[in-house]
Amino acid sequence: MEYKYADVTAVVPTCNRYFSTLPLTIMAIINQEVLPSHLIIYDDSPDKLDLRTNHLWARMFKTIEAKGINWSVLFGEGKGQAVLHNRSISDATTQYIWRVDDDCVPEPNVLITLLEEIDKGRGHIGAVGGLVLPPEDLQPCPAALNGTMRDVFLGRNVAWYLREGDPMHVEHLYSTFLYDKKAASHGYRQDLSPASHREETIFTHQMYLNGWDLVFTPHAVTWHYRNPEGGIRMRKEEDFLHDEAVFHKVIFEEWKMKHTDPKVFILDDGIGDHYAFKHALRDYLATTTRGVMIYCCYPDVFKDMTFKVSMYSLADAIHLYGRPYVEKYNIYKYMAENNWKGSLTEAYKSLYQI
Amino acid sequence: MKRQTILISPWSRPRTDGKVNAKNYPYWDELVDLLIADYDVIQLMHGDERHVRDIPYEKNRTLPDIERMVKECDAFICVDNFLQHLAHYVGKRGFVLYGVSDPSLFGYPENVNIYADSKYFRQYQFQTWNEVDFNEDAFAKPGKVYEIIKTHMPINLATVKAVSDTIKEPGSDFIRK
Repeated sequence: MEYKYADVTAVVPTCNRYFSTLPLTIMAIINQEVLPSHLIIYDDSPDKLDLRTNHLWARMFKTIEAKGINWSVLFGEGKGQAVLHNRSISDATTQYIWRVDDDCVPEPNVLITLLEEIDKGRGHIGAVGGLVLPPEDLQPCPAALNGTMRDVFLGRNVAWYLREGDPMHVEHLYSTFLYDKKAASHGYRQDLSPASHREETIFTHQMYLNGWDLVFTPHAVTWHYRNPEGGIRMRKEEDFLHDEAVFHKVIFEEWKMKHTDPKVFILDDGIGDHYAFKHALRDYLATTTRGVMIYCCYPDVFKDMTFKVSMYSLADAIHLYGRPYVEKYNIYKYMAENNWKGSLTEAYKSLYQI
Repeated sequence: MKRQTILISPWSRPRTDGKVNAKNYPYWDELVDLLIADYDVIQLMHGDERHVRDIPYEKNRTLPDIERMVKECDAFICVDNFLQHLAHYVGKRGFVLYGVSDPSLFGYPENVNIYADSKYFRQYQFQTWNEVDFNEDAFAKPGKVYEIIKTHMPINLATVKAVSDTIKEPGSDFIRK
């Protein structure tokens, strides 16, 4: 049997998923069209098992060896993924690291596709990621998502949605991706909780800020099984709150981002109402530096403002936020509920607090 | 003397059940018959809207084109539809024909907002138009509307006289600033 190898270490931190999704992840990695030369499993489980003594795992390790992949299982200290990924940067002896979550199942062409993008970048690419799809909820990608940090504030990621087209440059990556160790000199945050929430966003965006390109390609599909047991789902709510506070500190104090979260307007009404709103918007734009996103029915109304506002369809808003949320911004509903006596434009100003 | 141009937008969005929208002015034919004696009247049309009296029209124009036409005209006349909001945005004054909707909520004070009587205003101003029956009595008669227009034209000159706060003809029509 002949195999092709790449100078890549596949890194899989795991916690309590020995007999659920982790075997699926490992088999998907060792069945790639191009194999990683090394595989490191970081076991962060509270009650660690010697997997060599398990019938299934013993045979999986033999399969990995038969395929010529150097493998190791290293124990973590229960401090979470960020610590383990940081460790992998020095543990891995290859130039590239392919990090794969233990509930992710990459298609056989993922590694080769990510490597091809690295190759195209001629040394400028820090990391490449692909689609990370939940098979139980496949949706087309909302037009409002563009791979910038704004998506983080919208609570979404381009990787989660079906998408066609060409690879694109982005400002951060999600979950599983291939990266160059040369681009990882800043390391992973060590002040996150064991939940390590936002670890890859902070890691990859710092890479971007350090001048490396990040690429997202829709041609590499990894299935995300979102295991309800083990992994990040074991962590406590206070861990997530802690990590969110760290994230905000990083964004606003270290990266000095300002008003990254855009002001969102949703117009589910007629052309005339759009114009009445436009008057309110004109006043608002004169006083703000925030980005503006408008989901509406008649984007032509705002054609002269496209240098300041981003336009999306109302269907996109329903897709992103759900219909009940969109209906909260029905101006007539608002006026009725508030027994409105002023003008339509003033009603919009009141509804959106602008 | 060059005739002034008036742009009209006679119709509101059709009801989904096919019935007449309560915002639609019922006397356009008669009003246009009066206006064309003194003004050049052009209708903005969209889709299969009714063409009033075979006057010149502009059909299915884009919003930027309509903005330009509004800026270039001497005045506009419309019902409670998109045109008054577009005109407000581009800074053009005109005449708005109201029936049951309240101009203090949906109109602009710089326009001449014309209606028959506030007693016809619908009680629930924010309900959908599918729930509102058409009532032609809610609208000012064409002769009265024509008089008001003549009185206020040219409405967009800087020296135009101020629109009165309220002018009531006993038992009939109001205009309201």
